[in-house]
Amino acid sequence: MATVGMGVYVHWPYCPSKCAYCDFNAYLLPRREDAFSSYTAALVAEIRQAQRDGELTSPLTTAAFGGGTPTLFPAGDLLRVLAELRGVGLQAGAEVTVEANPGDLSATALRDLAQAGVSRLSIGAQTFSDRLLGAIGRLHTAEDVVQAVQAAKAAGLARLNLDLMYGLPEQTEADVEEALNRSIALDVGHISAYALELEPATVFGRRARQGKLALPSEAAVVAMGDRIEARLTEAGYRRYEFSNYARPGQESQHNQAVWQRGRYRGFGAGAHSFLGERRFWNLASPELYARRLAEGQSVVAGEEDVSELAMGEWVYLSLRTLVIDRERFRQDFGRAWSDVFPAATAWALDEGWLLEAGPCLLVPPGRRWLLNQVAAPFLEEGRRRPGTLTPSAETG
Amino acid sequence: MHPLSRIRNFSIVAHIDHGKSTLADRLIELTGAVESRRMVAQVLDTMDIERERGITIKAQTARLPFVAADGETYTLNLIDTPGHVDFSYEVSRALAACEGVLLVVDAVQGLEAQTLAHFYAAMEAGLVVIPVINKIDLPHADLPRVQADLEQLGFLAEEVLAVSAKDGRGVRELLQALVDRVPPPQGDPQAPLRALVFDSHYDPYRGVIAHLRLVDGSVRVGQTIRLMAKGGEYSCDQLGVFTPLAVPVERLEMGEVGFLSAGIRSVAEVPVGDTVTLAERPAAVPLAGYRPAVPMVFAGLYPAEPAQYDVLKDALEKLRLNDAALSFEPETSTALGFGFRAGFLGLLHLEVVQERLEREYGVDLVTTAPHVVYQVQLTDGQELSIDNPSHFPRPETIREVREPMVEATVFAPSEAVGAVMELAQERRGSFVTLEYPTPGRAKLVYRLPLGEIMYDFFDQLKSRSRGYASLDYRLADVAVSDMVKVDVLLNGEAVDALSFVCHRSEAERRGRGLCQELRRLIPRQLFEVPIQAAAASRILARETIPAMRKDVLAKCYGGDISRKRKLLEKQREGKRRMRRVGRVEVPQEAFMAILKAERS
Ligand SMILES: Nc1nc2c(ncn2[C@@H]2O[C@H](COP(=O)(O)OP(=O)(O)O)[C@@H](O)[C@H]2O)c(=O)[nH]1
Ligand code: SF4
Ligand SMILES: [Mg+2]
Repeated sequence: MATVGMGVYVHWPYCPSKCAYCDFNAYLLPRREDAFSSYTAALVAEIRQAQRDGELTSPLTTAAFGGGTPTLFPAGDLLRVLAELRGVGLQAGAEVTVEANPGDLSATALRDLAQAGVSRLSIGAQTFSDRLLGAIGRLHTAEDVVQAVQAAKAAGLARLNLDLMYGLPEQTEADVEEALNRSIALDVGHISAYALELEPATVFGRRARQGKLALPSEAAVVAMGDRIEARLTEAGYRRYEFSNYARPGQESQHNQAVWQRGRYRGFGAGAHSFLGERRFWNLASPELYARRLAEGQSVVAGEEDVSELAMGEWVYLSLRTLVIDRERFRQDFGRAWSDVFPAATAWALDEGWLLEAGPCLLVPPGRRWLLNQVAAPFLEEGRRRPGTLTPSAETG
Repeated sequence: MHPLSRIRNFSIVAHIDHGKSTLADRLIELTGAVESRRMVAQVLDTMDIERERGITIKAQTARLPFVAADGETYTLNLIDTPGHVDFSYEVSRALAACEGVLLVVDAVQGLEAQTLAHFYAAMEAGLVVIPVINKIDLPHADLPRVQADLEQLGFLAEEVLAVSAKDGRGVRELLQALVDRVPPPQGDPQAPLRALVFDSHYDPYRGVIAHLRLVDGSVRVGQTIRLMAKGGEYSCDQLGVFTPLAVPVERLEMGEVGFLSAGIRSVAEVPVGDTVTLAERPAAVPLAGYRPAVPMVFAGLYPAEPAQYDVLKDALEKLRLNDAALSFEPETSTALGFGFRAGFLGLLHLEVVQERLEREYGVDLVTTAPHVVYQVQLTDGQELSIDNPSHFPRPETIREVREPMVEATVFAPSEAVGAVMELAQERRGSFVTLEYPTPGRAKLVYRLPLGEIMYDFFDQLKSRSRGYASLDYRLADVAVSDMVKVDVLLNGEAVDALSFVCHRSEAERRGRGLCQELRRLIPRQLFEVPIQAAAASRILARETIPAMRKDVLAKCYGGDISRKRKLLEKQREGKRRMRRVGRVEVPQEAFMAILKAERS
């Protein structure tokens, strides 16, 4: 692995309301008083369990607190978990990111986080149109985003990300333009721009099935995405993943490690872990999760042995960064790229899906919207065990 | 062994779902032919598909011992009949093996088209008909009405029996009525053997088991038998009766019902309706009514994976051992590769074969839209029989096309007559008669092209009569019709497996419907795909599948790599199962799309 360390992720599964597009493992805050404290206790217990089971062998180089809404928890809970992570090897200078929703960040809480070593704040802005914010079920306004950024900066959190969304129902190009301008004006180092994906088990998914969702056309979504890339590039951000843009040095190390197929251990309800050969995930229900841990039991809900998939998955993830480094592949697997993916590579180069640039293969701009089409043949060819099958000519 | 006077051979006939199979179960149970702890509901329907769909496809038989009122034990031979119009010839042969029938009528539904069809068939065959009202346990049972309807058919009030096949009420009386009313078999026990084959099935160990009704003479194990239709001779190695479990016997005599095996390798050698006689003392004249099975509906059967061709071939051959009505020949399609053109008795038969191929033989199938056979006379006088639309000749070479016609009998409430006539008219039907055999129920006869009623006619009939109409049809003759072939072009290339033949007046509507359905079914490709329907090189309809612009995951959320990756792999797998036609990936359902287009 290029990065020898390992990341940790901590999931905070509650939100003040459920957004219309969201199928994350997030629940409305239960009325029970002790929901926070028992969940936090469970997180601590799971971290100790992982430590005891030898799952945290390497230095922990990044940590990400996601959700749900981590900042809905009392700052003390976050700090307690952070302290626990320090105890099991989270390094002093490690990147520690916390996701936050605008509107629920107090100046004191922010200061406490910064002091405890939180180095990055990722703020869910989504859009700067209050009309759209209401329509997608967000509780904050555009103004809250501005204030959140200012408060974070004041608290000494220098590395900031804004999450934006495009392709929302009734969103116009002008809405996107405004979000870009205002985000850039806020001078954050990192911007993520996600196209809306319709998930069946969401309010939007249901409305779409009923034919009651006015989504922009696919061509319009593509145009928005292209505009985002152009505008952010012009403003000095580099697109270092399909949906992520950063100024030099502001990239999320945690996410980069994931795309490089680095190992991570996820704590919390529904959290996913990847320990090299094996991916596994926890029980989704926060209450069941907490109860099991209180009883000292395992909370693993499912697992997948991905050793056979490793090489294909590596490409699948690399493709997200729009660059495949064949030299890194050789280092990671001890095998030559050309031996593992002869057919898919020939196909991709022939048909213009990839361009050769020294040891690297690049996804040309015209093909980025079809990354799944590029990935599929590599996933398939990479799945084959060495020597079991000769790959046949790929016909995408 | 069994004095002739104590044998009764009978069938149960009924409109579908009126309770034929359930009643058969009760009869078997009540006579103790099968111990009740071994009773599986609907003992006689043995194929999985029959039980699941509740349709009897193969006729079965059971010998029921019954102690009648006179204290004597009678042998009641129940000959179950197939319950679907596709198999009406098989029904007629089963009836020919009997002296009587139980005409079962649902106490709620009353008379239906097939009730009447069966009734007339039984009368024609000269059988004693015992009218039975079933399901009298149902709260909505309307005995007086059904009774009155039956009287309209000429039955006396006191002739009508009322039973519940479900709880067994009236069933003992029914058995007694069989003894009292159905005559014992009449025939000549000394004459040369003549046995009617009313069914047969293939047994992997013994070869074909022919189901027989002995009309004259007798047969013993070891004798050489001759099959009169095809002339084959075989040594009889086993005889037996069905209880309904197979029990071997040494000989079968005039009037009895049983089975014979003689090392016969395929059911096609012993077609239903054939006569078995003895080689050393053959009968001079076979029994009347033999007719070879004529497939009426054809479809292309292709393996989803070209490598499975041999598996499909093998499976079809095995199925044919047991299904004399199934025919098939190899064919090649530019779109689908190597496969078979197969002939069926009707759509249900096709579905049953399809299901068996997939379920019992594990073949993944692509089936093209079913079609009837057209007789085409060319301008040069040549006569062609077209069972594959893509072979339909060019219009300028055609002098005349004839299509198969059926005589369809629809039985419907009188208020639905208008709707039924409208439907028949839409389907190019010509009116034959309208009668009211019982008050409030109309019997409509139409002459209709088989090609028009094959797909959704029955569904339409049901929906337009709010579920009350019923249908029966039989092949009548052929009619000269103005038929055209419609081709479908995908991305500018004609796809042979999508061609269809229809009446000129319908070509545009159907062509458009098919294009729309294809647009729905074919996933977007990386380029725009035009879909066109054309007849005689004129474009009738056009649709466009826009190019795929976007296929990318926005976010790997929370490190959950597996879920979206699996989705992608599933898509990929779906794509692998598609057929590539030119540059276009076409899912398998698309080849049946014409059926759906018809229905919408
Ligand atoms: N209530 C009631 N239901 C019956 C009776 N006879 C049959 N059925 C039901 O009617 C349906 C059709 O019966 P089945 O014997 O399969 O009819 P077939 O299609 O004529 O063989 C089944 O659901 C049976 O359970 C009866 O006497 N009473
Ligand atoms: S805040 Fe985030 S996790 Fe919570 S409901 Fe909205 S999108 Fe989902
Ligand atoms: Mg039945």
